[in-house]
Amino acid sequence: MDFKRLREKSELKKSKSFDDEKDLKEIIKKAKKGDQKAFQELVEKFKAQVASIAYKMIGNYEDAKDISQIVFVKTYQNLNRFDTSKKLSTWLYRITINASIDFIRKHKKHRHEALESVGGELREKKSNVERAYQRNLIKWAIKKAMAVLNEKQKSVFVLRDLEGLDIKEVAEITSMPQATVRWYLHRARSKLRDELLRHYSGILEGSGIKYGM
Amino acid sequence: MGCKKIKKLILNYWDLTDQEKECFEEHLKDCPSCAKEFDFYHNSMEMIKQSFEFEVGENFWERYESALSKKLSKVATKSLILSWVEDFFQFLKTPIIGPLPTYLFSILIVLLFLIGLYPAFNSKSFSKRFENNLVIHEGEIFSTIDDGEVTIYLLEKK
Ligand SMILES: [Zn+2]
Repeated sequence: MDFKRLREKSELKKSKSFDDEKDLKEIIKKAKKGDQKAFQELVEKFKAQVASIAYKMIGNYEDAKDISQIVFVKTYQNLNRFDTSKKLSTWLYRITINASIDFIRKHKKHRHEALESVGGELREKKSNVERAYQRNLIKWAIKKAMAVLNEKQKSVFVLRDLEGLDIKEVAEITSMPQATVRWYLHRARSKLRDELLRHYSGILEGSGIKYGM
Repeated sequence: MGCKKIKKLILNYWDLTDQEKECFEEHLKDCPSCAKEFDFYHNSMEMIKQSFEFEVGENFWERYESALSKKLSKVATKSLILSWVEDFFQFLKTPIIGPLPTYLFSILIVLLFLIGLYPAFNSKSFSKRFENNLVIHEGEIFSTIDDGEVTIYLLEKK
């Protein structure tokens, strides 16, 4: 394991996510006064991140699209209540997480069935396109493993480990103390690892990931 | 740090301070068992990240934008109507002549309304008065009853 390279990667991500806050505040002020163009700019700036978080929470592009649009409509309706001294991204991500959780609650039963059928389909296609199959199978296994996480575990895992936000920001978004965030993170990570080890280690091995006991 | 402690930290490697990370890495250099476990976890995580990478084409954003702008304009119209309603109520709340409180204003409205209705309440007695044919003769009011050929004059009021 090359630790130096690992760290450099994370530093790069940090500097990338650092926004020009002052510029952004001006746009928010304009949008608050009802400037449509300014609001459009905000959408442009955040749509990929919002849709990406929704996708990681739900695992489906079309639903992620709908959810992120709900987020922007809600933002549009409530922007006058936004405190400009705070970070807009924190506010937006909180709405995104909440909208995703709402969606999961509404579609719980239906989603479970959908995942099952994808798994069956993939098993049949094995002889056809081996590599694409392998890739899809890993995706399926991971989505299936993610399903064991509860709402809070999933939210913190998505924000911290998949989106790369720092724990302080995750705590603000989820309105939880940092220690609680750390606890849920630890639960999420160990649950995921155990799930992958127990049920899908064969699939992961096909991709080169080995874990010999 | 011993293996037991290190194994607990494997899941939280990314949350460690730089100093903790160094200790951790030192241990992994000399401990294949912990290193193996870390590798598995780290690789699985990379795999998870990859499978949740948000990759969409131009087409996605085109459809996204047109759907969103429709939803937003719908909301904008709704909020415009709402703001009109709000403005109207705001107008009712603001005093028209000096600091006239709302309840006084509404009492005034009710009074004006009742005054307007007054003739309707009295219309029956009004018409009764004119039921008979009245004739004024030398400052005196007579009511008349037609009986075919003769007309009878009755003194009504002096
Ligand atoms: Zn060890």
